[in-house]
Amino acid sequence: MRRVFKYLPLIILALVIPFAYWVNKTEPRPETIRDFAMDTYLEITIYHQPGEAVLEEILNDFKLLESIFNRYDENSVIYNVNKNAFEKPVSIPSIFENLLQESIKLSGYTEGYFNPAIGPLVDLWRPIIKGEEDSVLPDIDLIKKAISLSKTENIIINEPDGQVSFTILGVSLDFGAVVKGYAVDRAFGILRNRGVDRAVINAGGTIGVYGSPPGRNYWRIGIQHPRKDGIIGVLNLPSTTVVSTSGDYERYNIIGGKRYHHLLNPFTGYPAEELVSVTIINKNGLFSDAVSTAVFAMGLEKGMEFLTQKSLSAIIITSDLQIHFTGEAERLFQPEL
Amino acid sequence: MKRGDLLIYLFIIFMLLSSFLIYFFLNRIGGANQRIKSVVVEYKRQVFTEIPLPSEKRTVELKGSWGVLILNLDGYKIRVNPASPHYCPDKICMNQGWISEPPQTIVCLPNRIIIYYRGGAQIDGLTH
Repeated sequence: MRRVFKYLPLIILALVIPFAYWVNKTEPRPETIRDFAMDTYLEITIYHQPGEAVLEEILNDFKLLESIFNRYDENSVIYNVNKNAFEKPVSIPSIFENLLQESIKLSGYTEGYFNPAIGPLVDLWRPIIKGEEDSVLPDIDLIKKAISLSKTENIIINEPDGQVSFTILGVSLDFGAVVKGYAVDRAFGILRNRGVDRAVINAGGTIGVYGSPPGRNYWRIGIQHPRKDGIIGVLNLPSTTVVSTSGDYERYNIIGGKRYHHLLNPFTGYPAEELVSVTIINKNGLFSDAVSTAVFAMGLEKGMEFLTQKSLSAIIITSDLQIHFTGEAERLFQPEL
Repeated sequence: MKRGDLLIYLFIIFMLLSSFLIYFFLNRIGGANQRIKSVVVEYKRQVFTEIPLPSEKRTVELKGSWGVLILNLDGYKIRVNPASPHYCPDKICMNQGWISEPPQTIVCLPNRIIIYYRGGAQIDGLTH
């Protein structure tokens, strides 16, 4: 017993030093920037100092993606592709080729419910959804024509030359559903290169949490209530994850008591019905974005079957506001009381 | 080893344990109970104005390149007045209604205005 007491100061010191080190090590103060890019709101918080250079690098990458993938900007790569790729093959930068190929793969994975060639249908519905004056519901024959154009089979990638071409006139690419998730994945790459320990990237509602949370067990991500202000629940996430939600409340217009929103079913050519919100939880942002879009179009039965079969974590909300879970989602979800 | 030494050691151990407890208390409970301090209006990545909360029921006029944007304040609740005369082609900010807690934000994309809460952050993000 006496020996223990003799060494007690040493024992205490041995306990205090690692503890003091640990306390001191925890938390560089978070730094946040908020800005706009890719036609959406961005918020980036990093727990790293100095943070400004990293924040600027991520923001600049978002702006680079916007300059390539904004299909309404006449100076963008995608605008040029959509306009000219039927007449002659168009040279594309490697980022474009990468996202196009990954998107075509994901289109196959989701049985065509996510579709990067959905541009013709989007163009048909856009005036309605934006609530433009004098806009009328699209004619069924136009919808049928647009469906036949909106096929990934109409796209040819010439890999050795880095070129893309279309097999018929009127094909049009649209990466609007996935570019935010893709941007989050790229931001994660920047964080890794820069040695940042933890960060939160909010790209217009697609949220990426990176690393372990600051001084607590979970990152907490709220899920928007689809029919009122505030949240329907919170996801508790222990480590790097991207959460993506597709909701019919985001961009829509109500005509004759019917809601016309931006999430189109590529097979019917109309806004998908039955579901009001789909949230996907995955390590990869591009994947989360593509699958949330696809499952929204699939509807409840087909969507649940697909998610269960692929062992994916998701939260599906139907129009009667019932919440359905797959995979790990129920365990991570905490309802808002 | 005297009785006094023992008391000192016990005292040191007690101090150690209590510092642990205080640290965790401040970090977890204190951290989660942070109050909302203010509402911040940002324009082009600069703080345009910051208003302490809670606020009495009142309106604030924000004058800028967009014209005059009318903000309604009531306690912790904030909205862009639906009849606000500022120039905005989208009108999403005007139609959004009230926000009441972080991480809710009001965003006016055409005018590059962001309205958000400072403090009270119990949630890291909002997926929509």
